[in-house]
Amino acid sequence: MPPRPLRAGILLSRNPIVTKEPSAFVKAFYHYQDELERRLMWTFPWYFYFKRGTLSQRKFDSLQKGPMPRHKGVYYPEGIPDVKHNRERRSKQVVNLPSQSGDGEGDKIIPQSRTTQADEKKDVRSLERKLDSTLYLVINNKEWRLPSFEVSEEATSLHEAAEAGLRELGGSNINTWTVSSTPAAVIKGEVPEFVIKSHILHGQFTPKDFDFAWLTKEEIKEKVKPEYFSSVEALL
Amino acid sequence: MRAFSTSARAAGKTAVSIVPPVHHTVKFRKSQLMDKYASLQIPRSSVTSPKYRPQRTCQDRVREHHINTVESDMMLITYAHNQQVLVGNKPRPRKGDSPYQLYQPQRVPYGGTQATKDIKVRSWRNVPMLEAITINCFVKPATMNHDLAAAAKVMLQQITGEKPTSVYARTNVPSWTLRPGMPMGAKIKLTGQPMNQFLTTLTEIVLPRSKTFTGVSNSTGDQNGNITFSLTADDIRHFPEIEGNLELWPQTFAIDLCFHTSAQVDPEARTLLSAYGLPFVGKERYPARW
Repeated sequence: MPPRPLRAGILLSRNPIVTKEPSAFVKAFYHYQDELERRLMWTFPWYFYFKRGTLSQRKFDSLQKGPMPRHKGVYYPEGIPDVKHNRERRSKQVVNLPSQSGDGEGDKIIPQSRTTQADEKKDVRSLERKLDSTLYLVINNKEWRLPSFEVSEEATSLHEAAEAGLRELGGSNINTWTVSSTPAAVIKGEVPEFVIKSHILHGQFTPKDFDFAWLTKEEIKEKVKPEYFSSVEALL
Repeated sequence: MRAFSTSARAAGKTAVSIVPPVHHTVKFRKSQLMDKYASLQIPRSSVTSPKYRPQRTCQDRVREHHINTVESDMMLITYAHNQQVLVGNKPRPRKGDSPYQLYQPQRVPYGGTQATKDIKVRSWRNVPMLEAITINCFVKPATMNHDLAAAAKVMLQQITGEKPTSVYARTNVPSWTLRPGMPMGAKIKLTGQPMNQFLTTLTEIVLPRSKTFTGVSNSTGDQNGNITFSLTADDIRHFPEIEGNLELWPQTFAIDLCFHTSAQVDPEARTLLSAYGLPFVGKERYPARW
């Protein structure tokens, strides 16, 4: 009796590169917690970083805006100052550090945008799109689906068959890492398809004669047939 | 036989009953019950506690990486068909047919003196994760110069951003001029956001620039999923907090790091830590049962 035919699928993913854009609520939560932590922080030990009597200490001192002193018989509309060790204890301590770069502009760290050129062009073939979410490789071989390959009788293991098939389709200029030789799922059908999980580390997937895309879970849902999506949804 | 009163110890008896039901004595000072200390009874997780500190103050890259990638990968890697609970070596109870056995301890396990843990079935409930990092800094020359222990404590505070605790000598070795109670260094246990921050600094800034570090040895591990290695005093100089004002640090101190993971065996702990960017070198060692 001949062996039952099998297919080896590959779930090739590009892991998120940056953190998710926080929602307005999450941002507000982090802001509140951060301000609270700064409020509860110890007083900045300037004497540890700026030696007494040095030029650097004088520079540091000139930048500090001291707290409002407390005097008897004075009405304070914003509350009575609570000063200890030259620090207002009712609020966070603001420490102004001398500029490292001279003009003060070089000290600022400005993060780059989460959206890239590929996002603006809507280039679904680029690996540099949607940096904050996992992208999965889908190909359009007659219909949109995850890449899958026939397992020949000579093949020794499923994951080797899947990796070899991927290079046959998209060229050898790709560096991937198979997560496990254990399949992540099996898609039942006439010919059962065992899905091997893998990450792309470097290189490009460049097939010759059909279309492909790197898509997020939500985009895959729109692209593939509903019955196919329901079979792979739990994987993504 | 039973003695629950506190005078039992003075009378030369054990303070705690060892026959079940065991009543442990809880020690406290009477002054701790005063009204003005009532706020100290509030758990420190509560905002009303004076010890409260916010835990989540910004986005955590390492945590997001764990949730997005590592968790599902580790689950697939550790999966095996037809898993069974592997029962560890346990102490063997006495038969109890003789009254002399009543207070005798249980017999040691077969094949060794130490009991070993059961290895449970891997599932989505027990995917290995990094729980804590312990940093221990023991300064031998602190026997001669006590200030070095304080300097080590400040160094740990600088590289972690958390408050360390001092460690003191416990033994008396006259030839080393070591006496009990001498401050010998500092230690700290990092969890949560400070731990992840430290891990990022370590794997992205310190270790790549180290001249001596080639990787964590594969032979490390305590068989319970805890991985240990050490950094030399020169490696410490690559931490940005130290490097930023090197003139303050004429001397830095070597540290021992212990990564506590919830992995049940060491190879899984190594797999987990390599996902966070720690390289491992040497021949992989597999335990006899896993």
